[in-house]
Amino acid sequence: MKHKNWNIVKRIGITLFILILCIFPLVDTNSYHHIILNQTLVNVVVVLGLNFITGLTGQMNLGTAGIMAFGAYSSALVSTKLGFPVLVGLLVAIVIGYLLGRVLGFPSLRLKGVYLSLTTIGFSEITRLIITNWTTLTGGTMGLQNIPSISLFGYVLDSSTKVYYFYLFIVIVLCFTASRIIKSKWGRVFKAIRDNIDAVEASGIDVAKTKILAFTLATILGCLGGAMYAHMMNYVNPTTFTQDLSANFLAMMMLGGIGTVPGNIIGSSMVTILPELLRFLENYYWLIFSIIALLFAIFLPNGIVSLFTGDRRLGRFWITKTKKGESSHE
Amino acid sequence: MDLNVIIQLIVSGLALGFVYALVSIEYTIIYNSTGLLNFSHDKFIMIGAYVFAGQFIVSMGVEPWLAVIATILTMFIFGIVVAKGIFNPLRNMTSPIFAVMGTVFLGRILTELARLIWGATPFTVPGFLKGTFQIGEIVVTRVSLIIIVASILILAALQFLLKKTKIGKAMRCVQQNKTAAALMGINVSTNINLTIAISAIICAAIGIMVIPLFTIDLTIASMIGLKGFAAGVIGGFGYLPGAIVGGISIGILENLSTLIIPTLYKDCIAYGLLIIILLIRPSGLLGHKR
Amino acid sequence: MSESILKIEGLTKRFAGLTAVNNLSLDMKERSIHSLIGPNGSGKTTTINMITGVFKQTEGEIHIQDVSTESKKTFQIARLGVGRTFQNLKLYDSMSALENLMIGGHELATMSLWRGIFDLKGSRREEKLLKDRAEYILNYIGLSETAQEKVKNLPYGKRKMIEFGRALMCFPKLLILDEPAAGLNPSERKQFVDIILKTFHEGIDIFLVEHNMDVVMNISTTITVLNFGVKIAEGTPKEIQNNEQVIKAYLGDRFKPIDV
Repeated sequence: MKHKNWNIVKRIGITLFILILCIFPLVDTNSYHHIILNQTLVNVVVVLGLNFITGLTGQMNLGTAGIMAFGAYSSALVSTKLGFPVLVGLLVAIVIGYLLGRVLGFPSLRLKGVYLSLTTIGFSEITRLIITNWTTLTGGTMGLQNIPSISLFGYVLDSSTKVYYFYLFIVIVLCFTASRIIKSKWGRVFKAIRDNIDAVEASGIDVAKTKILAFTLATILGCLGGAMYAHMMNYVNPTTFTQDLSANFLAMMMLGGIGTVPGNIIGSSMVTILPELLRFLENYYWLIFSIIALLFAIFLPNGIVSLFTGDRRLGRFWITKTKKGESSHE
Repeated sequence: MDLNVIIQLIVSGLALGFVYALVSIEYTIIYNSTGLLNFSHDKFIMIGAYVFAGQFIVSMGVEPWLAVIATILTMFIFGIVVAKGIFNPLRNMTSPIFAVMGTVFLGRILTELARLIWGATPFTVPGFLKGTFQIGEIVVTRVSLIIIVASILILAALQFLLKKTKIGKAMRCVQQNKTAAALMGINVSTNINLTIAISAIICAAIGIMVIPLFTIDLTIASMIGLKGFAAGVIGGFGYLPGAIVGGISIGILENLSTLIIPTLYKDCIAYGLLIIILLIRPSGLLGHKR
Repeated sequence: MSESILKIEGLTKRFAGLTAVNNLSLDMKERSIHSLIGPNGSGKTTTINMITGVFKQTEGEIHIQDVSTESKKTFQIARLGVGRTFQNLKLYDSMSALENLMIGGHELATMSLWRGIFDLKGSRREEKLLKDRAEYILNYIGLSETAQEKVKNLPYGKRKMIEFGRALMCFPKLLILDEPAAGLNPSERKQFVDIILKTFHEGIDIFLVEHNMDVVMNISTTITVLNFGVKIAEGTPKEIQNNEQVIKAYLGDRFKPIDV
C-alpha cells in the first residue's frame, strides 16, 4: 500500500518537474540563462551514457571528451561540408557512436581499472590531436564555424529558446529510456559485472558482449550529446575537448549519485549551473566550486541522491575504522 | 640523412625521455603505496615550477641554487599536507571512481590557487639553463645535459632510499601488504605521507628542469603528465625500471619520428604506442607480472 | 550402465613449475553425487576451475554430456547446464537477494537490449518471468522473507544459500559445489545437506568438493580422493573409509570410520 502511494507521489513529482521546465523559459526570458540550460541538457545526455559504462558497469572511462568530439565533428562535417540536413547529421553521429562503441569496447575486454582509464585517455588525446592538426578537414585550431542550427522539417530552431524545447524533449525521452534500461535485466547485469565479474560468467552470461553493449550505449549517447552541442553552439573547436572535459563528466555523474537517472540529472545541473551561481565570488568562484566538489567527493561519495535514499555514508572514516576493529576481533 | 642530426635528436629525446621517466616514477610510487592514480600529478609539477620560478626567482630574487633547495623544502611540506588531507581519506574509498574524482578536483584547486597567487600570464625565467655545447659537429643544449645528469642522480638517490635505508624498506613493505606492514609495527599512514612527499619533491625537480623547455603557465605539465602515464604503462605498470625504459623509449622515438612524419603528429606517438602495447602486451615492455 | 554427465580424461594443470593437477581421470555418472576430496592444496578447486573454464587445462580433456569443453569459454560451459558456487562467496553485494537470483537467470530472458527499449510489453513480460522464477527458487531454499534485503547485510549461512539458489536459476543439469558446508554451524549445515539432497532427487546431478567428512560420507554416491594433484583412490564411501592409502594420506591415523 505504502509502495503504491510512493509511486503516485513520484509520478506527480516528475510531472511537476517537467511542467516547471516547460514553463521556465517563458518566465525567465534571459537568453544567457537559456544557453546555460541547453548546455545542461546536453550534459545530461552525455552523463546518462557515461553512467552505463562507468557508473553501472564500473569500467573506468576517461575518454568522454574524445567520444563527444567524434559526435560533434561528424555531425558538423556532414551538415557543413556535405550539406545534408542537420537531422541526418544527428543520425550519423548516432551511427558513429555505435561503431565507436564496438571499437572502444574491445580493449575493455582485456583491460581493467587503471589500464582501461589510461587507454581511454590515450584515445581521447589522439582524437584531439587529430582534429587539431588535420586542418583541411576540421579547420584545425580555428575550429568549424557556421554549423547550421537544427531545422525540423523546414522549421529552423534559430533561437536558444526553441533549441531548449527540442532538447528538453530529447532529454525527457532519453531519461525515461535510460531509467527503463537501468531497471531492466540489462541494468542489473551491468551492476553485476561491477560487483563480481566471475560470478556473472558462471551464470552463463557473455561478459564480453555485455561490456561492449554498455560501452556502445555510452558512445551513442556521448556522440549524440556532442552533435547536440555542435548545433547548439554553431561552432566547435578542439580546445573544448580536453581531459578536463572528461573529468567534468565524471564529476557530474559522481556528484549527483552513481547509477541513477535522477542522480545524473542533479549532477549535470549542479556542475553546469553552480559555477554560474557562484560568479558573484568573481575571481574565486572556480576555486570555491572545486573545493565544494572535492568535499563532496570525500564526504558524500554516493552523491546527492544518497541524501534521500539513506544510502549515504557521512561518517565513513569512522565506519571504516570500526569495521577494521571488528574484523580483528573475529 | 645527416647522422649528426640524428644524434642530436637522440640526445634531446633522451632528455625528454628522462623527464617522462621521472613523471611516471613520481606517480608510480604513489600508486604502489596507496593504490591511487594521482590524476593531479601534472598540477604538482606545475606548482613546483611556479614555486621555484614565480615565487623564489621572480618575486623574491633568490639565487637559483638556494631557490632549488627552498622549492624542495616547500614541496616536501606541501606533499605531507596533501597526503594527510586528501590522499589518506581517499585511500579508504569503496570505489576507485571517487578517488579519481578526488585527485582531479585537487588538481583544479591547485590550478586555481596558482592562478590567484601568481597570475595567469605565462612567463619565462630569462637565461635559466640556456645555452649550448658543441662536441665536434654535434650541438647539445645545456638543459638537455642537465636534465640527463640530474635525472640519473635522482634515480640513483631513489634507488638508494628504497633499497638501503630503513624508511625505504618500510615503504616497499607497505606497497606489498598494508596489514602485514602494520603488524610489523610500521605506521602505514605516516609512511604513505612520506611517499607522497617524496613524489612531490620529484615533481618539483621535474617542474624546475622543464622551465627552459616550455613557457611557465598553468598547463605547463599537462602534456608531459599524460605522456608520463603512457610511459609507465609502456614499460610495465607499477614497476620502476619499466617506467624508466618506457619514458626513454617514448622520448627518443618521438624525436626520431619527426624525421618521417609531420612534427605536428609527434605527440600521437606516445598514445599510439600506449594503445598498441596495451592491446598486445598489457604487462608492458619489461613484462613485469604483478 | 547409465550415461556419464561429466567425464575427465588425463587432466593436467601446471602453474609455472608446480603441477597442481596431474593426469586426473574420472567418470561421473548421471544420477550421482560425486565428491572430490583431498587435503588442502591437493588441486580440488583447480579441478573445478578447469571444469568451468576459469582456467584452461595444460593437458587432458573434459566432456560434459559428450560435449568437449576444449574451445569453450566459461559462460559457454555454463550454458551447457553447469551451475556452480564458489569457495569464497561471490555475490553481488550492492543488490538484493531477489536481484542476485534474477541475474543468475539472466539467460532465461532472451530479448536483446535494443528490442527491449521499444518493446515495452515484451520486456515487462520477461521481467515478470525472471521475477517469478527467482521467487520460486527463494521459496525453495526457504529464504522468501529476505527477498528485498541487500545480500551484504545477510548472515553468512544465508548468503551461501543464496549463492546456491543463484546456481539453480538456469535449470542446470550439473551443479558444482565448492565447499558448501565450510563456515556453517551444525544446524545450517544440516539444512544445506537437506537442500542438496532435495535438489538431487529433483534430477540435478551434483559434483561436490568438501572438507567436512560427515557431509561427504553421508550423501556421496562416489568419492574421488586427490593428493598432491594425483588421484589416489575412488569408490563408494565405505570403500574410501577403509582404503589404507587414503587413511594414511588424508584422514589421518586417528580417524575412525563412521557408520553410514
